[in-house]
Amino acid sequence: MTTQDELATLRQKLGDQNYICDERIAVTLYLARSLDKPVFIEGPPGVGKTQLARSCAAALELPLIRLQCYEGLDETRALYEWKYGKQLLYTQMMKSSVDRILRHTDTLEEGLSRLHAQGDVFFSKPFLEPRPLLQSLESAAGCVLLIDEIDRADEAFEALLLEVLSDFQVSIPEIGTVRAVHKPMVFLTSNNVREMSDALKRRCLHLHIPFPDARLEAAIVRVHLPTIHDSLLTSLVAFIQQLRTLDLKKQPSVSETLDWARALILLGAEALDRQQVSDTLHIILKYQQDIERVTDELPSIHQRSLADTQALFG
Amino acid sequence: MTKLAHSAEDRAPLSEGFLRFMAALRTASLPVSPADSLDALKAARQLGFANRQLLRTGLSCILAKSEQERGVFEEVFDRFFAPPQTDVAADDNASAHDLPPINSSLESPLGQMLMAGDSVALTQQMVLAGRQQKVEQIEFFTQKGLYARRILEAMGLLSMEQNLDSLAPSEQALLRERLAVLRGRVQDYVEQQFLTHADSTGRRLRESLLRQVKLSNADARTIEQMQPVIERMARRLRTLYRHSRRKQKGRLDVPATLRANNGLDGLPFHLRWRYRHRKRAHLFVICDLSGSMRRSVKFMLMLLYALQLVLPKIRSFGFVDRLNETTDLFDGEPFEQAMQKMIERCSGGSTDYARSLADFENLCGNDLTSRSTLIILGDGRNNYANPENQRLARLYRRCRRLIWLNPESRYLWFSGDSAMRDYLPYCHQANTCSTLDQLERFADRLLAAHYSA
Repeated sequence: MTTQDELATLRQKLGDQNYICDERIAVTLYLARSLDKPVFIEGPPGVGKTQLARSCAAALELPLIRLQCYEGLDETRALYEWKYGKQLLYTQMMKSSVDRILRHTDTLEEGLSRLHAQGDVFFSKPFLEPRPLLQSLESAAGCVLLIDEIDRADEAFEALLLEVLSDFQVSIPEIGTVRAVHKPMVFLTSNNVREMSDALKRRCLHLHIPFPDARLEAAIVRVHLPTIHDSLLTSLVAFIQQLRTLDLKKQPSVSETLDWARALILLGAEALDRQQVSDTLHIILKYQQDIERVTDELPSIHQRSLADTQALFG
Repeated sequence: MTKLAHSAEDRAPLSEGFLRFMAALRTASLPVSPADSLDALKAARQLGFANRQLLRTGLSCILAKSEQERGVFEEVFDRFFAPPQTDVAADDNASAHDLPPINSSLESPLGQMLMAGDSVALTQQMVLAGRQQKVEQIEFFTQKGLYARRILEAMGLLSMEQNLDSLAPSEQALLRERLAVLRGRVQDYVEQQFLTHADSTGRRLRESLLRQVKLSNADARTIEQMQPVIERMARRLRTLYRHSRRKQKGRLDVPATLRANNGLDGLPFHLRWRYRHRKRAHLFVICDLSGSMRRSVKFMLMLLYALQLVLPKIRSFGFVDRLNETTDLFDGEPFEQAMQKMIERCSGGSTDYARSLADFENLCGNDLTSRSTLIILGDGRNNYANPENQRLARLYRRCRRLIWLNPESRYLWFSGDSAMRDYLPYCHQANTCSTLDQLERFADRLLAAHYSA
């Protein structure tokens, strides 16, 4: 199968999961799989960064393991932890068997050497609590690992990720090095809260997902809401595109376009009329000052979006 | 290293062209590591060289690590893989192909190609000659003419010119016309190669010169070139100091410590700390906006605002005869426009330090605390008016640091109408700051002081 065919199949598979993607995304995913490299996804909120990982997992029929990052995330929650409670409980319960092992020993040395012969039972796999990163390495059939909003985590955590991402292995001092059974496909997403280190970026493929253009956005809405009326679809997308050209505190994202479309369908709209727009503006705009600003300029924005509808969709 | 298991294919030598492309990317200051170029080569083999768009997209996600870098990458890619143009007939209205193939008496192959208007063959010859003359090693723009001439000579220009006389006058004219077109094409080709390959030594040299130019003497073109240098400086300083944020430990965090030591029977072995929340410091920048000072002010503000991520909050003030706050101008507006507005807002009569300091004291004397740093950028030329340095003394006692930056060199501070003599005792630090190098050193020290406190 040629590369072109494989790309087409990949897009088809993602399309089956209701994820419409452009060539850039498809090529990046293809390279990520063939070079075994993580994908670092950047872009404004709500353009489907997380969704891409989800759809990808579904398309490849792999389980998705998700690690949500936040400030203060450390290795005990991301990598692994010892099951302290279980260890304590077992030592209590196994007191008698320990006594049995130590029976007939006269000296401390002898007792110790007998204990040593038993191995490090309490620091072995059954007492290890794997967290998402370790889980993803251990999963037998491979998996998709999503490290969400990495820019919220501390820099220390970023450093921890470096080993996992470049070699797909982690070192656990008590056990040794755990290597990936099957290299997971890794996605990292970032909202640009802070700039990530060059070391991390260097290990990843870079993918920037911008807001979609009108045609792509219309296709996305169509796929999610097949029943939507044509004239509503085109005018709604043109209106949203028009809003994105304004200097707003928060621009409406694709997920908000979808919510809005759903709401308008519920209200039985077949085309975009001005009254309905101003009644439902709070679905796409999340700040009062944005809503006020758009309400003031609504007639002219509406006018422009109508003109655009013609230009964009013919 | 990581991937030692190369397939036989990987061991094949990197194609020369691909390596030159990597070098071109580095010249355009994309940080391409050897590991990156290996990955890129693997990707290119996967994607194939047939589909140009596909290759471009694929390579960009490996070699460009941000949106901005992607722009640079695509530009270099397009320039590097752009087919050179040598269609000699294109400029003639009558295509050369329509002309009867004349004069077989001309022995020179170049002459024959020109007469036949064979642009494909000419292109091939040109690129070959370019390789032979190592045009990709071009370093300075002054070498462009030299390389163009060498390429033409390698294509056989001299031998052709020698037996030019054997031609009929009309044919000679035609040949000369086409030769002129070819010459233009070769120049374009060399220009293109220069843009792609001009070695970074040339750029480094230019940059190191730029860093030492006196800001007050810089002309418009130099100023334009300085802006990317400032951006690079800011980027370096940002990454240098980004890591030193939030290192201060505070009190013991009892709940977190108990949780962390559950497994140790509650023995507090691993301690957990609360981070101390620092109260936000402020940076006050007072700028003398009289004509001679504007350029220095511009560059300093540019650097400070580019460092906004790692610096405390900046409040800026401008003055000539009276002082105005200009903080709001830099809120979200593009820097150039903000700077222009700042100058408009603050322009006035002749420089008056005493009155401006009084204005500042009235405006935000109470906002100055032991966490504030006050920077004054001025030449201290007070037109022989009373400097009223007791005002500066009051500010000096109030803030944590008072730093005076003067674009004039130190020995001029005590001459003429300079009031530096009177102000100097009330500065924690006073520096000459007239070049980008000095500016960077100052910013570096400022950040170091901020993070060590």
